[in-house]
Amino acid sequence: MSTDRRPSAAPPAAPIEVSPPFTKRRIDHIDEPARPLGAKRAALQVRRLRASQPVARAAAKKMGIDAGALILESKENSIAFSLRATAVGLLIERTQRQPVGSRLVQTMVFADPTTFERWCASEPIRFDNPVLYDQLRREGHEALCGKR
Amino acid sequence: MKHCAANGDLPSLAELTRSPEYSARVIDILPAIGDADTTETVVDLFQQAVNHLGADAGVFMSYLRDDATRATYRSLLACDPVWASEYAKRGWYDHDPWLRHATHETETVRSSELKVTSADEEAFADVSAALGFASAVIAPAPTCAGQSRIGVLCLGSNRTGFFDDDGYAKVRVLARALAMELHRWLLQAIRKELLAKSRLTAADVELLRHEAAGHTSKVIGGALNIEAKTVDCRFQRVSAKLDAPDRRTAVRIARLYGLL
Repeated sequence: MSTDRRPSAAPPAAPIEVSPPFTKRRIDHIDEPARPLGAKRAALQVRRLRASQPVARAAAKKMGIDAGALILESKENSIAFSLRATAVGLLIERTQRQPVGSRLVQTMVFADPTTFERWCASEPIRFDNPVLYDQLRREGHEALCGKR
Repeated sequence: MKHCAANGDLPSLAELTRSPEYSARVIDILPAIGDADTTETVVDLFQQAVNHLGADAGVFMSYLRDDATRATYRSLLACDPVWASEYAKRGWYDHDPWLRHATHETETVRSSELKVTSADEEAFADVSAALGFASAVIAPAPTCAGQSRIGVLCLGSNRTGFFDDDGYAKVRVLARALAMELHRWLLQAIRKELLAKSRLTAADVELLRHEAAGHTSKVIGGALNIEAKTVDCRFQRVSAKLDAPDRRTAVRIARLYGLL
């Protein structure tokens, strides 16, 4: 993929040796819970993440077009759907996010319109965001019928 | 046999696993899952593996604690899509007994062996039972990142007690292998996604490697032939690319996503 900027494309870096006089900085253990931020830093981080949301949305749209997927998202970017017609059916990636907190990404493939319709009927945005819901249904059915 | 009689023509798990092709069919799929190049391929292969195992539904869920303020739950679904809607609607990731099990244990268990610890977990179990997980096998996919990155596979059957017969021994082994391969694929996918989103360069990754080794700015500057202040400046840019509040968190994210 063109978007795949792997640092491994560069010659593999030799392992960096840790010699005792150089290991002055503390290293977080990866298998331990994330280090909590201080109140001031946490507030700053929340502000930064909130501010970065519109940029993230624009990037997602661009990536979606590049990957041949249609991106549908709510105005506040709290929910997004990526739709792509594939050989095995309609691939949908549903992302539900908060600026700070949990992000839920669900990936599924719909082989037929009946299953897709059943999922749509149970989709939480049906009443929360009817405009997005209508768009999702319309685009999904079009993709499944091979019109897109 | 008991299940066979109770469910008409449907064979029990013990009968299914007695077939010599049972394991071979699943094992044939496993290498292709870990190396699949597209998401649709991996979901399709996952669905095939679920069918070959005799299950009616399958969910692979991964949990990643990015930092103190963010966590990501990703799932690949080969089950009734209504289950996914219920999961999202009710915010079940906070009350998911399968994820809870995988967080603390590495052993594969059946849903009948899993203790439900709250009313929310009970609601999760009830709704899941009605949507293809009346009987389930829960296979954790542990990683070197401990509780910061975990994976769990759940195979479900509409038939109560389906996984409780002698065939379970074989399913337990195959489910664990499937969970590990799905987790392998997912790690590669999220790594690619992070690289595309953050636009990290090879030089950025080298800088993070120095930080992971515990080197100070002065030492890194000496190694790279630049000023310590320049190193700090570059770390600020790398942290911003990874949405990290500081360089230690940036290293944590890089390690969790398999960049180092």
